[in-house]
Amino acid sequence: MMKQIVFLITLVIGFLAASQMAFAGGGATGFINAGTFALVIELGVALFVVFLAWIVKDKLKIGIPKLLQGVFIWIAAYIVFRVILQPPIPFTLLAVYMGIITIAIFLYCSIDPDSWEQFSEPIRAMLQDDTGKAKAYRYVTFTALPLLIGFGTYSKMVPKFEEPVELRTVHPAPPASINVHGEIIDLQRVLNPFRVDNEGKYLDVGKEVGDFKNNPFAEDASQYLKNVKEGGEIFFGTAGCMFCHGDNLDGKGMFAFAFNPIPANFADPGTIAQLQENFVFWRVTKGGPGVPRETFPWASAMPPWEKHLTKDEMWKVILFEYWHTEFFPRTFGS
Amino acid sequence: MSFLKGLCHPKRMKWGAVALLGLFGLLLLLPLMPIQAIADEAPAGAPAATEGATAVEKAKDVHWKIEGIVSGPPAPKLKYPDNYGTYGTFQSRTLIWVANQQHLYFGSFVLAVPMFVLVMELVGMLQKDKRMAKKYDDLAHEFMKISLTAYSITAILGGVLIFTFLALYPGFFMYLAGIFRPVMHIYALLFILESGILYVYYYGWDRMNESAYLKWCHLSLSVLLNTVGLILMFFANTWVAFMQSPSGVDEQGRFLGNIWMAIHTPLVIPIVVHRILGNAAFGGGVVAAYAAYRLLAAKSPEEKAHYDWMSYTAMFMGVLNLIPLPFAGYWLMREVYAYRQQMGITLMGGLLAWVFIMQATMIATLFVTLNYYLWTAMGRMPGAERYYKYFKYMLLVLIVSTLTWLTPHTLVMTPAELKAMGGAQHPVVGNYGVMSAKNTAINTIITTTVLCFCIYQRANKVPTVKWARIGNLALAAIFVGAELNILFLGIYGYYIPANVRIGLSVPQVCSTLSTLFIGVTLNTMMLKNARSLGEVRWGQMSVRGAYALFLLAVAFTWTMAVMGYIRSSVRLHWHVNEIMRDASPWAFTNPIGYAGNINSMNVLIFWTMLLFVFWLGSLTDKKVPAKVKEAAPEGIVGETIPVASH
Amino acid sequence: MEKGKKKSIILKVGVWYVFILAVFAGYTNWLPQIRGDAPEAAVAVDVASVSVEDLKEMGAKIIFGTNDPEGALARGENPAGKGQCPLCHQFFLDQKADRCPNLIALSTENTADPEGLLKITEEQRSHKRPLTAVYDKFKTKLVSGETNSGITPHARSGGEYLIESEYCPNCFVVPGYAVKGTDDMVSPMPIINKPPIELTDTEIVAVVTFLQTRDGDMSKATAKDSWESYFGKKLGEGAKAEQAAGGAAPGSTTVALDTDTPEQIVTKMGCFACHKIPGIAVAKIGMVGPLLIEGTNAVNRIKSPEYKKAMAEGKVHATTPKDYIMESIVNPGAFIVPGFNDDMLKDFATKFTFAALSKMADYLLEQTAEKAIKEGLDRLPNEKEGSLMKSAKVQTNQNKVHVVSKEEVRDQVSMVSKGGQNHKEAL
Repeated sequence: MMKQIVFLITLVIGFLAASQMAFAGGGATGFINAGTFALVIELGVALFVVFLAWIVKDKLKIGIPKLLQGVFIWIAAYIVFRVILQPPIPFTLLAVYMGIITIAIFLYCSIDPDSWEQFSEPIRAMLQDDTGKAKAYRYVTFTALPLLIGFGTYSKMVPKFEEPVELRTVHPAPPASINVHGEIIDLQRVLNPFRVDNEGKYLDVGKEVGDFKNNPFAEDASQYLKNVKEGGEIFFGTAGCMFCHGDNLDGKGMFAFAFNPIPANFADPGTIAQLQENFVFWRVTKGGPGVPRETFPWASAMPPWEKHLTKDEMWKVILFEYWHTEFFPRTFGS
Repeated sequence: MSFLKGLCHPKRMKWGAVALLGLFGLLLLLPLMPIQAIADEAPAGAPAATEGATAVEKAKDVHWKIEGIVSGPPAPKLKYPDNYGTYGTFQSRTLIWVANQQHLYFGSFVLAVPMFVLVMELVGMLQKDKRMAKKYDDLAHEFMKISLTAYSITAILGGVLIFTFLALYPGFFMYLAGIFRPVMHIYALLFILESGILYVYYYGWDRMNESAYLKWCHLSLSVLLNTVGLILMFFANTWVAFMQSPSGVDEQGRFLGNIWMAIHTPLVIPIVVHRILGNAAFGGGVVAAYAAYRLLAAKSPEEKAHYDWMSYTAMFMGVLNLIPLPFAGYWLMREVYAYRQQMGITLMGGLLAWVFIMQATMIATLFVTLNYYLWTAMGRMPGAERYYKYFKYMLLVLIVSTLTWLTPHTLVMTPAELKAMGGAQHPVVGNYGVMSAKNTAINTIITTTVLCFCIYQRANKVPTVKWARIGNLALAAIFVGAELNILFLGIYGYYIPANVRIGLSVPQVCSTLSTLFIGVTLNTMMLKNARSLGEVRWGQMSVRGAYALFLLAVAFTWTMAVMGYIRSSVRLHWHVNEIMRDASPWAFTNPIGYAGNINSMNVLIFWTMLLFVFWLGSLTDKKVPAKVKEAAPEGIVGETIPVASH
Repeated sequence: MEKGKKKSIILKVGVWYVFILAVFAGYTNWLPQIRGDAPEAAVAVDVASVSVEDLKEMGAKIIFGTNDPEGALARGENPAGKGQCPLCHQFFLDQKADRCPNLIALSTENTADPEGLLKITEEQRSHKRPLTAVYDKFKTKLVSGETNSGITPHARSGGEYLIESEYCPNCFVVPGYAVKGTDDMVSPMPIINKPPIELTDTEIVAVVTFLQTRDGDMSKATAKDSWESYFGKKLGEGAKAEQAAGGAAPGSTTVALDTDTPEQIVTKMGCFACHKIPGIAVAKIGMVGPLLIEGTNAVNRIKSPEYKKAMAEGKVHATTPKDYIMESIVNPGAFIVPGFNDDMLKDFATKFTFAALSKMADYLLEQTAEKAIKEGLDRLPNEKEGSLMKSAKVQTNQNKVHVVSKEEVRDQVSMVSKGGQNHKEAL
């Protein structure tokens, strides 16, 4: 049975490791080092667990009862999610994960009649048997239980100075239309006017991929790349977006950590890559003051750029952001 | 006549079935006829009006942008309290919510059950084995009995709902009724028709069992019953779809004379499909729970066997509809995004994102519980021990997928945790919050479920066909290949633009569906004339399995509630999206906790009422035993003859 | 026995159900709770069906932006709603605004009234105004219609007078509150139903209702009837046009764009209220800030000892004339031209696009003393550099230049310094 546990744990860790590998290779340049590092650590831990299990099972010839197996898996999962997974995940997510693991362990122990028997037998024995051992366990359990509950209550009631949990709706719903410089813009339909090919026709999302590695400063750069270059000039020059969003667009600009929330990391697949271009346009034009109420508390420091940039400039910056991160804005159908 | 009688010949029965299903399909087109007629009328009336007076005003459809003749008043600007009724300070919205939900539960139940009954009656008729034929027929009959009482409760709840609308939301209801007037009448008439067919169908059951010809007539009644039921549901769905994505009216909400345009709203088709599947899954869950309860309460082994089998069959039927549900939901969501990006974001990333997390939790619960039920159910299959050792790996795959599936894109955290993480997105876990990961996870979950079912199918059997070895290899190849494809596409999805990525979900779904169709078919073929390791010991299912079925049923019910809540609240402060504003003080969207409490309450009310229905059903049982006992000795020993059906 | 078994099963299943439901509900309650409030409805009120109390409340909301203006005042805010009235009008004793006639008129029982501000309410005043000789003077002078609004003064009652004042501020100007130098004929108040304030007819009726019922006597509210008798039509006709586009983001302010010409920027930003600028037709009367001939001024300014001192203190950073101009626009308080006060509005940093700012600076750099002289513009007396006219000794039409007294300048200055967002008021 131990073999299976080892296999289980190895698989969990392997899954995490593989995903990190996929992530590290995913062009998210900012985290390559962190990701690779975590990967190495995790592989090491996995090997160690396998080794440990081999010692216990094959060398020491110790069989582990189902109930204990459950406890072990729980602890192992806790260690993985709490310690090994870096940077640390928030408590709320940890609670969800551990909740699922707890249910999974129960399912694991009751999955077929034999293992259910194995699992429930010690509990039944502890509750019912008349042997001295069972009695001892019974006393311990029923002494510990109220104490545990008491401790739990105590630690819940004792005054603490904790930061409040904050909800951040990262993607608030945009309004149907916005007013920029006196013009009503229909956010449902508007397209980036600078996403164009050399003939000036709209360049469908995805077709710009050929220009991702090209030099925008080249003489023969495409119209799209020229627009990207102008966007870059705004990003690094006119508007100075990089002070917050970073030279690598990774949200680590020199001022970034003065803010809470910190500026968006465009290099992360979870930000602009998830959004339609016109959504990004809305966020750029209206900034922090323009987020709807549902997203509060949301003390975004993003200025409403409509007060400093023209519509064209904002569209170009957005074009540049996608080009630089090599992400594609989200689209629906053609 | 002779042709029909000819169909009853066992050899041509299959053709009969096909013909019947074709008829069924044709009948589904029925409601379009009156609508089309009305639609044709509108343009015909137009020129006459133009001649008579210049007063004809044209306006553009709010969605389809087609010009039409204004033939209704604009949507009234509602005012509180003038256009609303209240009961003290109680949230009117919650009252209408509960009324709607209860009506919907019972309505779904009574519309879903005839679908099963149709299939089961047909299966029974096509059985060569007389014993099995009777078994299926009795089961179908018993299903029907349960739904009969529920049917009258549905009608009563419908009345309650209309009164609640008129009492609390008269302004809104009048507007809706103004547009859907003709459809509402057809709806009411169809309801009468439905009742008539239902009673003939149920009370004529035994009498029409007498000859094969009559039996076919009886089955045709079932087809008719289902058709009318589906049309009823379709109409009710169109109103809901109109509220969410109105068309057929202009920007001021003036009806443009063409009822078909008001029915054919941008979201109506995916909503209808999604709801039909959901209904069927829900109905299966309810019947399964009923049977599971009877199983636990059963006294005799025969009774236990019957209800064990019944719960399994009902659960199976529900699951058959559950599997395509996520895909239908995905389709609906795509259409929502295409209709209004704003609405899509409100759902998936904005205000309702947490409700969707709850919804995802429910889906995971459903599938994991289902697998668990199948595992424990194998405890009654001799020979299933061979497969026990694989269960835990399947569990592992399920749990890893569930972890991915339930990782939110937006994390809740304290500012300190945010700083420690270095951004709103976690560098590792953040990858599981995106669409690629979710698609991969849910497809993996479904594939695993299909695999579990295949194992269940062969648990007590050993294939004897010559190509068993090759067949096994092919089966393994299908599952491994599908899963590898799903995984590969999932990872590949991180590297390509979103519009292409959305396209990837199609091959992913195809992989899953191929395991379902090809895998299960292949498996079934292999098991033809298979060597049995022993009959299924019906009635010996573990108590844990029965409780899993209860969980399944509650999860179905709760999922329906939460989905309905999402669909309804995505309109935010609109009665009719962007046309008619909710001016009542309850135009806000409640926090998810409140919704959860109301949903739980609704589910509890529903099940309590169902308990009453079941109790009524059990009252009629009591007279039967004597009769059954006479019949019983003829049955096969130890099992299969259902006790107490009619 | 059998019965007992059945009952216990029902009980067990029931407990299991309740447990599951409690887990589901509990989980939803553990998740973060957000309530999505409905946005405030666009104001589309059918006046006929609204009570006077509601209208008054609506009026207060338009004037103050809150239902509790006193509370906001106590917190040190100056509450101003869509109508922005409190920027110029005084509504409360402890509120500071004296550019336009006070509208306090709360209740005479208030003891803290040293100046007698509360003795007469606006409502009482309004009845007298159309009967005065001053009103007749306006009537005869504007007999062919007031230029901006096209309205001829014809108020016959107090209510009509109040309505008229909103649609045509120039139809009657309270003596002493007109723009200086206009012989009490031009009001500094913007036309309320036109941009930038743009109240709807209904909203104006609400505001007037608020003024009429300030003392709590609801019977005095005649606003709606007065509106209808004044305009001779039903209120609410053309209400469709009133309905604002639903999705437009609130508070989208005027922004100077690079596509605007310098003249448009000057108009949009209201620079002309304080500055004279050569080459800009509207900017000939400002008497609060320096004459903007930055081709001549800016070079001298950054070399001046005052500027060098400020530079040493780290207040200013400009090294080129263009930088100096841009700095002066976005950070007006950084350096005050000697002889002037720190009166310029401080919010231009959020009202210029970068390109527009650059363009404006370039334009101002082109303006020199010669150009100003050609157009007959001169520096204000309080500028240290002294009159252009005298130094150039060019024969010009002296009458064109309105020489102002120090008092007049101070009045203008105080007006503009409190001007908030509404530049038209400073006219």
